[in-house]
Amino acid sequence: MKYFFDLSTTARWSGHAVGIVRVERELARRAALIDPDIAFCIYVPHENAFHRLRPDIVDDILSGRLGVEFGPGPPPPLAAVPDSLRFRVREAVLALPRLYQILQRLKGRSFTLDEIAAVKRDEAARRAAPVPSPVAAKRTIQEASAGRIDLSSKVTIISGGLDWEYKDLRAIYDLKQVHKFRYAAVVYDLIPQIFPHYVVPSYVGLLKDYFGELFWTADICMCISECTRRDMIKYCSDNGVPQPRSAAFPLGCDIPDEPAQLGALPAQLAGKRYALFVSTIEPRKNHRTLYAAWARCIEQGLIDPDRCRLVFVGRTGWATGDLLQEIENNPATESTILRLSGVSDSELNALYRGAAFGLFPSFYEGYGLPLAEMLNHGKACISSRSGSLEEVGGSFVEYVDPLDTIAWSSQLARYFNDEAACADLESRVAASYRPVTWDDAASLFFERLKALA
Amino acid sequence: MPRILSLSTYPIVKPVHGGQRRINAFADQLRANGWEFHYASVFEAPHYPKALTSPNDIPLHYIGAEWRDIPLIGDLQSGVFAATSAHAYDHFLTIVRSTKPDVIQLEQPFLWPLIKALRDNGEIQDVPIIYSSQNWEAPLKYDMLLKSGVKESDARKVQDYIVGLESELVAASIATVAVSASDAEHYRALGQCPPVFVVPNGVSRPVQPSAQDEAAVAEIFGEEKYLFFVGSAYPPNIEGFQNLVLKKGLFFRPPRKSLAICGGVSHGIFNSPQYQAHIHANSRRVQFFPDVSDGGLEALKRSAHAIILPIEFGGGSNLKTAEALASGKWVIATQVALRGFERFVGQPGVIVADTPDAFRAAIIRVLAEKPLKLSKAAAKLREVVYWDRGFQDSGYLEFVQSHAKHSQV
Repeated sequence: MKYFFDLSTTARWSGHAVGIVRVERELARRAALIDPDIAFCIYVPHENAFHRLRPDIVDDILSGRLGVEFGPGPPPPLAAVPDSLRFRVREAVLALPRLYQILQRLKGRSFTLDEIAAVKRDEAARRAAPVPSPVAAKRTIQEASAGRIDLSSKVTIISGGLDWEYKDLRAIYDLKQVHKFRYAAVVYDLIPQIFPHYVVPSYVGLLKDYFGELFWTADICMCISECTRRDMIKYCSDNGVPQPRSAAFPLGCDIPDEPAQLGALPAQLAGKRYALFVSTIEPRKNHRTLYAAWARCIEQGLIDPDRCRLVFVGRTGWATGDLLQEIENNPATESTILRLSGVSDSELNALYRGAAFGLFPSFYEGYGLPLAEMLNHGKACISSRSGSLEEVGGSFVEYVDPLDTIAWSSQLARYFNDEAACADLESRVAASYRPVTWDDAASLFFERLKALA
Repeated sequence: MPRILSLSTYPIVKPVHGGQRRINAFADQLRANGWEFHYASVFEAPHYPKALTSPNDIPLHYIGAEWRDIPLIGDLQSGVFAATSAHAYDHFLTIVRSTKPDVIQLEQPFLWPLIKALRDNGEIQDVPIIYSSQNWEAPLKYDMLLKSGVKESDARKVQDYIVGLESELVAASIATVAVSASDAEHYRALGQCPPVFVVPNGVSRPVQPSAQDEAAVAEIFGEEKYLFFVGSAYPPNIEGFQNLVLKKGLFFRPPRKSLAICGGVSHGIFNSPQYQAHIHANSRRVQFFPDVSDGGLEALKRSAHAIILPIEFGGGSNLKTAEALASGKWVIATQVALRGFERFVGQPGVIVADTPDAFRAAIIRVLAEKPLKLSKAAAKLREVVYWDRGFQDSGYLEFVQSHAKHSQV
């Protein structure tokens, strides 16, 4: 059997790798080390064909230095990045908020440290936005291709990317009918099928369509948790779809520090004790319960508002306008909740390291990577049991019902005030928690995939 | 040769809807039993072009003031029109005088005012009347008017009027013919009860499809198991399919043609939001046949794995239900669709499902089954749905025959 790992998503994506893009890249980076015979490919929609990637450009694609231009038209305009001396000086000064504040005052402008931090975050977020990077060179399909793959029953295509965006599964289904090759897909979750109300409305139809065709097309499904696998099996059973062969594998939770950057905590957290929730802000993640529990802690004096902070790390998603308006304008809490987005891997590592404990009140998860990352940093965590979270957190986490605001409030107060309780949970994590590295995850992925093939 | 004059509120030159087909079945069966069959109607002109009418059919011109503001009651207005418009009355009088019927059979109750007027004028005093019901009309009309936004008080007024018509007519008739056992019970319960015969809606024996028709089906569906649905553009057909089949998507089948949708219902389904929401996925699975020949329809039905009847409301007993049962295929139907065919509930290959989840589960289960093979007894039971068997079992023909002999004496 010849395996081709599909890089159709990575080849289009040259920004900061998060979520699915990170999974595709981390697995792909290790694929060739695990099995030198694994080759890489891209799917070209307008040809309905898989092309083998030239081996000499794969590393550049995986590192984000090189992309592939799929469309027949001209590339989209690239975001301009300032590269002037003035910009570099400004960046250097902005890294020192007090100095920036003084220099701005000399110019007659008044900024608070919070405002300066917000400017830094916004600029970082813009730089991290998933747009084609100006430094990433582009190759045409002809330049990137080592030729169309000769599809047959001896070929397995492994796909773990944003297939609902970049693939035509019906066309691939037809291709399979002719060439009888095998298709192995990574399944992240079935939330659009089970909880469509938790999905961005404009995506519900697209994702229903994707899953509707996926299980007719895929021979093998590699699920990122047993929970997702159970959801998949139930979906197939409920819908009369033959169940693909499937296995679960865990995701890696080690985040490499970027060598050139030393992660530092935001100035607002200096000398503070903070609880950390890493997640996009959207209804499914349940920031609402956490905010209400936090407000109760402050209003009832259960925690020290001068010392304790609640930190949300993640971009702002959809349907959270009212919540953010409350967070920003509630005088009881406004100075105690810090929102950060667009943080680098090194900054994220610093935030994990500095946290008193982690939080994860989500209503449903296909995996819950931030919980694993928090545990990997040896931290105590309070989490809901929803979806796969108990699978990830095991016996190392304090579990609370995601709808029980009072209980969240009590646990927040407990872990802020009772450092022994926090340390007790941390020592349990330190003693017995076995973090899954991306090396482990990739080994398990390919081992289990091959066993199914 | 005995003569029967049948009267109703639409022409039957080209039978399309269930009522037209039913009247044609009466014509066929009576003619086959030696009767001269005549037919006349008042019809609503916009619905029927001249080519679809006979000289015995007269268009509705007069709209009675009493009903002026209420839609969908052209049939009621037709009865008043036929009885009170000199032009219309003369039209029917001429027909009665020329055909000299031994029996007058009123299809639906709406032209009862005409019969009363003819009797009052001494024209047909000795001619026995048979009331042939196609539905228990009053509550059906009431529901239809309410759904169309008519005021409850007006809907109630219309319902009461029809109850009056039916009560008088049943009492004045020598027999009543009902479509279903439940309708028959209703007419018996009105009291003063002449015999009530049950002639369920049925179907004609199928035509043999041509080799060309069969090849066309094979070209589209190949060896794929497929579902078959036929219906007119009547809203219950479209809405039932939307709610019971489309609502949760058609992803229970692979992206290959596996659903044949035939007849006027096609346009409504294609244009529905549920279909359009996943148009690419749905179009891979659905093949529409909006204007298919009888031979083509029969070829599609014969090769289908199952016939679905996702009907949630609407009256009468559906001809397409009879056709589905007669096909000997798996049938997945709501209780509403099986009204008039209740005896088939629980029979081999007949699955009742009334909710979207149940209907979908039934489809998935049936598609996992082998093609249905009925025992001889079960196949014979399904033959009841043919018109000839329905008439034979009802006792209606013997009754009319014996009455004709009396009138000939």
